[in-house]
Amino acid sequence: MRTEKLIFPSFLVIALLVFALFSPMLTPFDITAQNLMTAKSPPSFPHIMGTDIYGRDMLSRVIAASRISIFSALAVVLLMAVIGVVIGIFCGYLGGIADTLLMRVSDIFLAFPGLVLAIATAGLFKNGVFGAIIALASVGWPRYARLSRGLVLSTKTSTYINAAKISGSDTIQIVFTEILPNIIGPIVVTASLDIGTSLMEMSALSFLGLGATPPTPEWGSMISESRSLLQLTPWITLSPGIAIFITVSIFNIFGESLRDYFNV
Amino acid sequence: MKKQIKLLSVAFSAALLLGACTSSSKTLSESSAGSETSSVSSDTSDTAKTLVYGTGSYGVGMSDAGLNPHEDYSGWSCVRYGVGETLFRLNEDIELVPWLADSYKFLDDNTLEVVIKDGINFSSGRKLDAAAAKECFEDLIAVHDRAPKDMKIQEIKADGQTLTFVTTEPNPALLNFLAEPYTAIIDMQAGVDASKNISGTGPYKATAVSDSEISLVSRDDYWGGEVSKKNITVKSITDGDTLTMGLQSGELDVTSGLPYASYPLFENDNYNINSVATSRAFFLQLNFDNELLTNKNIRSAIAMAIDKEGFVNVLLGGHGKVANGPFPMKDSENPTYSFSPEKSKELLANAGWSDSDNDGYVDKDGKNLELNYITYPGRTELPILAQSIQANLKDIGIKLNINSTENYLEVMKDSTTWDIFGSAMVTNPTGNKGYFFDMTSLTESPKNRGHYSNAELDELAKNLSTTFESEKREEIAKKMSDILVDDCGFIFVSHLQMSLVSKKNIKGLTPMPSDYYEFSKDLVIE
Repeated sequence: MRTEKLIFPSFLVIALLVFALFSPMLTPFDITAQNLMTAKSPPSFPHIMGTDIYGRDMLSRVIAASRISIFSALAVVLLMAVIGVVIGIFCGYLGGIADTLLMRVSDIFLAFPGLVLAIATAGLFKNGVFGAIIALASVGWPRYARLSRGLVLSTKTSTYINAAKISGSDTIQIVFTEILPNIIGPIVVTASLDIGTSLMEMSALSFLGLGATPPTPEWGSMISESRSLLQLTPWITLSPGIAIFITVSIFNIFGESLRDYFNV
Repeated sequence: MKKQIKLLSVAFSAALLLGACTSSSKTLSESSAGSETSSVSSDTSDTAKTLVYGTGSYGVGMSDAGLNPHEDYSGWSCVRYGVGETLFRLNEDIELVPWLADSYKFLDDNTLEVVIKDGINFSSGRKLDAAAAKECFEDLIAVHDRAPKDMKIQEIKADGQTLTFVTTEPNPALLNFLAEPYTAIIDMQAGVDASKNISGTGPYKATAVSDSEISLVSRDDYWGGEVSKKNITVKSITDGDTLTMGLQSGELDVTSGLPYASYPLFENDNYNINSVATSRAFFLQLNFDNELLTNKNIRSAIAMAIDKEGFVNVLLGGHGKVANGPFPMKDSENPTYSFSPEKSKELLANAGWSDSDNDGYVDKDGKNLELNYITYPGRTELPILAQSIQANLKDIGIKLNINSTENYLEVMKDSTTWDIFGSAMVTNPTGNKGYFFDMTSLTESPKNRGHYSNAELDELAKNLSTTFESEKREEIAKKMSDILVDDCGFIFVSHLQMSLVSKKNIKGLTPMPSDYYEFSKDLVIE
């Protein structure tokens, strides 16, 4: 029953990822071609989502932006999960002064509002999207470190770990074959729920001009560029907004069904 | 025990009731106090109405915070908001007319005599005479960064109302510089306070000044006539959307710097849109340190690929005029480089660039033609222009990478980081057309960021700086403009229209082409 509940959300996520991967091939119009004669056309055929101030087809730009918007959010989550889990397992399993030190560092990160710290960090990087990914990952890892450290602490005194130690397994073997498989569930659930949040944060950084650079379309920067037009030509702002809404919803549904599956 | 609890409950309820009564009576007294205050304020509003003005053109970012004209560009704020006045001002045709001056004459090439109007007082109460003006000019020359070089003053003499300037060399543009806002005459005895407030001769005086806000009151002893009683608050609001919403919600009465995209919201009976064409140009400086751009074919190809009409009519919503030179063109003049992508492609082919690998970009020796464009978001339309040009150049096979950053001056110090600089500038701020060339396009110009150099232009600039006859000056300036345009040293895209958008009850707001004089005595709140 639990597996069945996971099928539909997984299908949606896979469909979304495949769509995003091949998105540049799916655009009905050239995403950078300017045609001022058709600028700010409302939604109609053949421009289903209308056109922007340069006369570019909004649907094509929203589709093309899905790749960079979604995969950059995935990259953020992957990066912060990997960094966080490695640090968390290291601290939880080995303990000692390194544990105390790293946990205090993570406390410092957690003491700041994440997005504010990310904005400051992203400003240090010249490269738009890459800088934004690094910035968000560098402020997001402590949550994963805390989570995985807690999980390690609760499992490392288990009988099967002691049995592995007695049978002569070294630390690396124990971590990869005994600990990680037993703590991965909650981490995967957290990560899947974080994809939506990361997408929003990536969009926020792009909105502030710290993400994709023109003419590369990215949902956050598309909203930022068109915010003055919300009252007069709302489709230019709302089209990428709707795309963000749908994507975040899909990832959240997926995350929740994963949570039910792992019974976290 | 039960009885005690009952008593306690009654006492507690009574206390609550009393508290509520007290609190409600307090509220009542507060509200009556409030109504008193409001009636006082409405009494005040009968005599002194308040106007809130939102602008994106005031503040530290614009280098014009405060009202001290002797500091940076703060003279613009001093004159714009009706606090300070200059000896001369620019009229609707950007021609000089006397303002605080009554008359003037050049005694010789190095000596200018100006007679100051009689009967003018500073807001401090002190009379404006030549001695007061001399004190002010001497401080200006001592502390300002641009004034000494512009004015070339050797000595200033004061006698009654007669002020005499002696220059180190013939300076035909001196009169123009006497209309520059940094020459606003302030009372140096009253001085400049810590908040950068001053005492000027204008129709308004400031009661509070900060880097983000100025409070003004009308003067009842203004020399130029009666000023309707009012208070004005100037608020620095750099975000265009905030300006739009402020005016829509009624929080602001007047705005300057509203995004062009928002204008349709105010094109109705509830608002006035007062517009005027200005000499503020959007133009491109090319980096001549990049060998590619020393090739005139490439420069011309870029110039002819840009759809200026489309930019002005669609992206600026018609709030501007196509530019074909630094100064607004007369309608009868023909543009030198009109929009022609086909001709651009031909020019690139002549320079040896063609799309041999069919990737959409022209290449030579296996390398695509790729240029870096730098601009800043401070002027909302500049990043829009950048994206439009990016699409235009892509059509002819040039790849343009855009960097829109507030930090552009720092980035541009490394000349390998940029090839084209998209900027905006008032090209004719004082009626002295030589100013634009002096600042940007001569070999030694301080803002010649791309190191453009043209010997003929430099020579003409020397001639202009010693020519007094206005017709001849006009002729030389025209020649210089033609050289710059023909050589594609700079590419001019558009001249902007400046607009003040206000509520319907605000009258007497007349924007001027020079962008200096916003609040006059004629400003009325109905």
